[in-house]
Amino acid sequence: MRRYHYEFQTTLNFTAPVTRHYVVLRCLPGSDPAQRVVRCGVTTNPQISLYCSRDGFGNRLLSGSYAPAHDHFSYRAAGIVENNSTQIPRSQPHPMYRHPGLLTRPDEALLDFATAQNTADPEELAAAVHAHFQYTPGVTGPATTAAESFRLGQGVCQDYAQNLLVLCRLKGLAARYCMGITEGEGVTHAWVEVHQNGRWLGLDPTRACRVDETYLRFAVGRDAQDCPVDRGTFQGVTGQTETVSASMHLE
Amino acid sequence: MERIIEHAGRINDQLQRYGVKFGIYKNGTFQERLFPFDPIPRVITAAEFDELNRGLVQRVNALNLFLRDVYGKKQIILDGVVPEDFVFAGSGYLPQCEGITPPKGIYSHISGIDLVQAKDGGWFILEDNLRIPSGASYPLIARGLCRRCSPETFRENPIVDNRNYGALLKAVMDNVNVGGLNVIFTPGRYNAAYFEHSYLAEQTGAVLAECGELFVENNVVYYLGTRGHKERVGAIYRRISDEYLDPTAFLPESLIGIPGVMDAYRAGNVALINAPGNGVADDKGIYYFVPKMIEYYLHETPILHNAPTYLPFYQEDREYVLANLEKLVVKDVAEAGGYGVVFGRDMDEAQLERFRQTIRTEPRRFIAQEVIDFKDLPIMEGDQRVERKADLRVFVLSGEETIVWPSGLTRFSRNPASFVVNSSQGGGFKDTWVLSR
Amino acid sequence: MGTLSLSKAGRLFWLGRYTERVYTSLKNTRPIYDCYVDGTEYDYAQYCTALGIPNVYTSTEDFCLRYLGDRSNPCSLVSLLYAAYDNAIVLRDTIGTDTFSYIQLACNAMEKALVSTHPEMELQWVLDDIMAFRGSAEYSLMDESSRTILRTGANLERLDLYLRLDYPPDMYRVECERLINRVYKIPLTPDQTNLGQLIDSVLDETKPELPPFELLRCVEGLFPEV
Repeated sequence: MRRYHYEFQTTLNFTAPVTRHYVVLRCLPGSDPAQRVVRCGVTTNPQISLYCSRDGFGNRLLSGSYAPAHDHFSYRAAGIVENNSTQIPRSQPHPMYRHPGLLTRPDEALLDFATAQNTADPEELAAAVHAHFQYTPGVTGPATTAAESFRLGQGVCQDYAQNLLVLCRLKGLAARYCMGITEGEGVTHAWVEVHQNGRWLGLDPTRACRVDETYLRFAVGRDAQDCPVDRGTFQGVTGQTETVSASMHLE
Repeated sequence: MERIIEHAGRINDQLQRYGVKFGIYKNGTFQERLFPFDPIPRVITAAEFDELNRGLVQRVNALNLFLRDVYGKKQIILDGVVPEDFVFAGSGYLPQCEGITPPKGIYSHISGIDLVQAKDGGWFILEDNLRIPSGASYPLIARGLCRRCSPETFRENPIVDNRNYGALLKAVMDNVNVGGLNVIFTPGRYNAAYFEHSYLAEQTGAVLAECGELFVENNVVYYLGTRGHKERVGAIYRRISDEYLDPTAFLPESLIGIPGVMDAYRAGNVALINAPGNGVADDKGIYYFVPKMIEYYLHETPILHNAPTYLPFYQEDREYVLANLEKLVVKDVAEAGGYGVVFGRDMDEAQLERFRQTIRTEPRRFIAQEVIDFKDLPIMEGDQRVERKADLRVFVLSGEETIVWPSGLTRFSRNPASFVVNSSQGGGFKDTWVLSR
Repeated sequence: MGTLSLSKAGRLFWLGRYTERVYTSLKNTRPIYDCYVDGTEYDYAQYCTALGIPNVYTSTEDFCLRYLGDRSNPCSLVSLLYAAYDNAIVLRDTIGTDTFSYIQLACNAMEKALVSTHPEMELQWVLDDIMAFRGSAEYSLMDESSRTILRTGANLERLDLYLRLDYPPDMYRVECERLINRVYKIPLTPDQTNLGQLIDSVLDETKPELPPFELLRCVEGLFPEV
C-alpha cells in the first residue's frame, strides 16, 4: 500500500476577455479498494460553484459556469489517496467496453495488424503497440483517431492507449481507456484497463509495463473522447494558452 | 374527393403564401424550395386506421421500454433476445445517457414511423424514427388550406380533423415539463426543416430558441431575454441532433448546442424531447428486433409487420442473402435519408460478387429485405393522373398516454423509376385522410 | 409570450425598419418614375447622396430599373424587401403565420413587378401588403412589447428618411417625439448620450435645436445593441 498526496492544476489565459464560460471537470478520482480516496477537492479561480454528478461511465463529474468577463480561468485538484494493487475488486465489465468509441474504430490497416497478432494476451498486444509506435509529442492531438495515429506510427500516451484498445476489442476483450496522473511531476497520462479473470487489469503501452500503485485514475471511458480531464466553452473571440501541471508524491 | 383536384393550383398558391418551404443546399448555397403538394389525398379507412393505431401504439410502447432497458438494466441483452453487437457498436448508443431516467420515463415522445402499403393492401413498417422525425407540419398546414379551398370536399367526406397536432404536441411537452418554459430549439434558419420548427412553435405557443439564447447556470437551463432578464426552461423540444446538443458532453466542436444541457438533464432539471441516445433503438439493424421486443416486453403478438428482413450477422440469414442477393434490397445501417440503399436487381454479376464480398467481411453493417411490391398512389402530373411510389410517416405521440395522430405525411417520388421517397431527394407530399367511418 | 431574446427583439426592430424603408422609398421614388415616363431627367445622384447609398446608376431609366430590382445591390428596394423577409421568416412564432404571410405576399408582388411591363400596378400591391402586414401585426400581436419594437423600428426609419431627404421640420419633429415616447417602452437599451441630445433638441425649448444631420447621428446611434 502506498499513500500519496497529489495535485493537478490547469490555468487558461485568454488574450481577450471571454464571457459565459462553462466547464466540465473530471479530476475527482473515484474511490475503490485499490485506489482509496482519503481526501480530495477542487478549487477554481475565479471561484465558481461546482455541481458534482456522475457521468454515464461512472466518473465523478464537476460542472459549473462563470458568466462575467474574465481573462483567465484555473482549477486545482488536490487530495490524498491510498493505492493498493492487491485489492482490485471483482467486477462485471459494461458491454460497451467491448465496442469502439468515436476515436477507436478500426480501419483496414488496424484490422490487418490485429489479425497479424497471433495472440489474445493483452500484455503481448501492449508490447506490439509499444513496438509499432515511436513516442513523438506534437504530431497528434486530442481528436486524433487510433487509425490515424497507427498510420503515423507516432504519437503520445493517448495514441498508444487507443491503439491497444482497438486490438483488445478486436480480440473480443473488454477494455477501457484510463486518464489520470502518475507518481512524480508531469501532466495527465493515459493507459488501458483490460478485463481479465473478473477484474480490470491495468496496462501502460506507452511505458510497456503493468499499471501499479504509482498510477492514479481520474476517469475512464471507451476512448479519450469520452473522458477528457476538462472541457469548456465560452463566448468571445480570443487566443488562449494553457498550462498544466501534475504532481504525485508519497506522503 | 375528385373535386379537390380542381383546386390544386389554389392550394399550392396558399402554401406559398404561408411560406411552406424546406431548405436545401445546392452548389454550396442555401435555397428555399416549396414542398410540392399533390391534391389527391391518401385515404385510410376507419378499419385500417384502427389496426394501424393499435399496432403503432404497441410498437412505440415497446420501443420506449427497450430504451429504458438499454440505458438501465439491459435485461433484454442479458436474456439473449437482442445481441449486444446491435446495441453498443452503433453510433446511436450514447454511453453519456447511461443511468439517466428522463422525466416520466419517456424517451421517444414524438416517433415518426414510416410504413408502406403492399399491392395486396397489407401495411409494412419500413423504419422507426425516434430521434427528431420531421414532417408533421406539412400535412397540418395543408389540411387547413385544403379546407379553405375546397370546403365541399370536407363536408361530403367523413374525414377526421387533424388540426389539433399543436395541442397534442403541447400536451406532450407539458407532460414532461419540470417547471418553466416550453422551448423549441432550432439549429436555425438554414436548417432544412426550419419552417416546421417555427410553425410548431407558433402552434404550441412554445418559444423558438436558437444557439446563444439558452444557457445553463447552477444546473438549470434558462432562456436569455433582453437586459439580462432570464426565464427558466422546463422542457426543450430540440430539433438538433444528439452529437451537436452539448459540446461539453458530445462533439466538442459543436457551435450550435447548449453547453451543459446534459448536466441539467442528468440532474432532472429539464426535459429533453426526444431523449438523447434514442438512436440506439431506431437504427436499421435494431429494426429487425422490434417484433421480438413487443413479445419480450409486452407479451403480445406484433400487430404490424416488418418488411421481411435478414441479418447477415446470423449465419443462416447470411447464406440466404448471399444466395438471393439479386432479388433483395440491401441497406447500410449507418446511412439515413434514403442513402446507402442498394437493389440487387440493379447490379451486374461483377457488382453482385463484390457486394457479396463486402457482406462477408462486414456482416454487421447491412440488413437485407425482400422487395415489397408497393401499392402505387395516383398523383397529378400536369393534367395527367399517373401512379408513383409513396410511403407514409405516421406520428405517434407519447405523453400521459401514447396516441397516434390521425393523419400523417405521405411522401411520393416524382421520378417514376425511383423507389426512394424522401424530400431531400426531390419528392412531394400529400394530405393523409383518416376516415371516421 | 413573456421574455423576448435580444436577437428576436433585434429582428423585430429591423423588420419594422426594412418594411418602412421599402414603403416610404416606393412612395418617394414615384416622382422619379414620373420623370422616366415623361422622358425627363431626375437628379437621382442627389437622392443617392442624401440616402448615403452608392450612386452606381447611369441614367434616370437605369436608376428606375436597378434601384428597384437589382438583387446584387443590397441598397435596392428588392434587396431591402428580402431583408424584411429574412427577419420575418425567423419570427414566425412571434408574429404568427398570418402576419408573416403579408410579407411573403409583398415579395410575390415585387417579383411580379420586376417582370411586368406595368410595374406600378404590382408595386401598389407591395404597398398594400406592407400596410396589411402592419395592420395584422397591430391587430394580432398579443405581446405589447413586440408590437412596440416593431413600431419603434418603423418610426425610427421614417425619421431617418425624413431627416435625410429634407422633410420639413414639423414632420420630423413629430416622428422624433414619438420615438422618444417609445424608447422606454421597449426592452432595448438606448444609448444615453444620443437619447439625451435628442430630448434636449426636440423637447427642451430652452436648448438650441440640433441641425438635421446631427439629429440623424443621434437617431442612428440610438440602439447600439441591435
